[in-house]
Amino acid sequence: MPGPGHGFILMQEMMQTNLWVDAVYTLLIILVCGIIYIKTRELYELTGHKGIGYFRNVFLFFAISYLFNFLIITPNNARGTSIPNVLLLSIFFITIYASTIAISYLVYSVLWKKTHKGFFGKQWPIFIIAFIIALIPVLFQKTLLFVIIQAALFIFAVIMSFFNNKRSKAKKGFSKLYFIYILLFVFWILNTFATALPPFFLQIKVFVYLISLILFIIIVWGVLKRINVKQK
Amino acid sequence: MNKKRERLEVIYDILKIIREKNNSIKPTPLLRYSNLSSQRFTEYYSELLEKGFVKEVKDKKGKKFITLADKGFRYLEKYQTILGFINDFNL
Repeated sequence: MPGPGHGFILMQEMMQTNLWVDAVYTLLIILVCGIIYIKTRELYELTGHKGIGYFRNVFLFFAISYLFNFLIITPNNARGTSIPNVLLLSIFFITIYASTIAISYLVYSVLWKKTHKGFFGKQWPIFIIAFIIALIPVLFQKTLLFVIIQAALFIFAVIMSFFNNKRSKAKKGFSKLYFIYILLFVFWILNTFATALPPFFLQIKVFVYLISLILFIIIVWGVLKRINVKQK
Repeated sequence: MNKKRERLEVIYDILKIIREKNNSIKPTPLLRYSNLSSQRFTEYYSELLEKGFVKEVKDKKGKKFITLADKGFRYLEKYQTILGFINDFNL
């Protein structure tokens, strides 16, 4: 018959499995973001095109966000090493800061052509706004507020990219910015949901992660397909 | 469609002219073939030189010629991909 410590050991094992699942998933997302960033480097270096630059930065800052997230759930942590609270809060802050910058670049990438001489011509507002948004959960423990702000930014970017696409003469098919942004938005919703899941919902978490990975792979495939298209 | 696209096209046209002239052309004919005003040509030419798309060489008589640098060839090679990427993603 299991002793009184049996439940505790089971819980610890479950926590460790959770952390490993999180770690592997995070590394895969960083890898995929890195592929998009590296593969679009030449196009950006050759043209200095702002739209391409903003598009790349979305994935760069998502990767940074996930990298810091990875530091929180490092395998050392899985073995029970505790992180000092201040450090944990700082990493949490950077994670939110980087993800908000990434989402802000989504907005910039769809708006820069219309207003490139004004506010959207400069990048510093992104960093200041993201800093303020990231401070909210750290200082006031109001996590829901930053989730709502990020969701609002996402919805705005998706709607704007949809209308941009309607006005443009781009050929029909998969390669549409708004489609990619919808996938990213779904990915963000799934990840926010997965973060809120308690450790004993491991199967659901793995399922959510798998769907997220599939969404990201579709995005990479779309981008690489466009980059590697044969020249006429 | 937008100013940026025009800029990319102009760069492509200038680089293509240089390549079509056996990768060696004097500045004055290049200005003529590019269909740009003198001021706009100077702006683009300075940018292309500064960013390493083209380079200036002098012959034995000291006459200046413009040739494509590696980056210029790469731009020509990738131009369709660049345009396709920008159009498809509405960037």
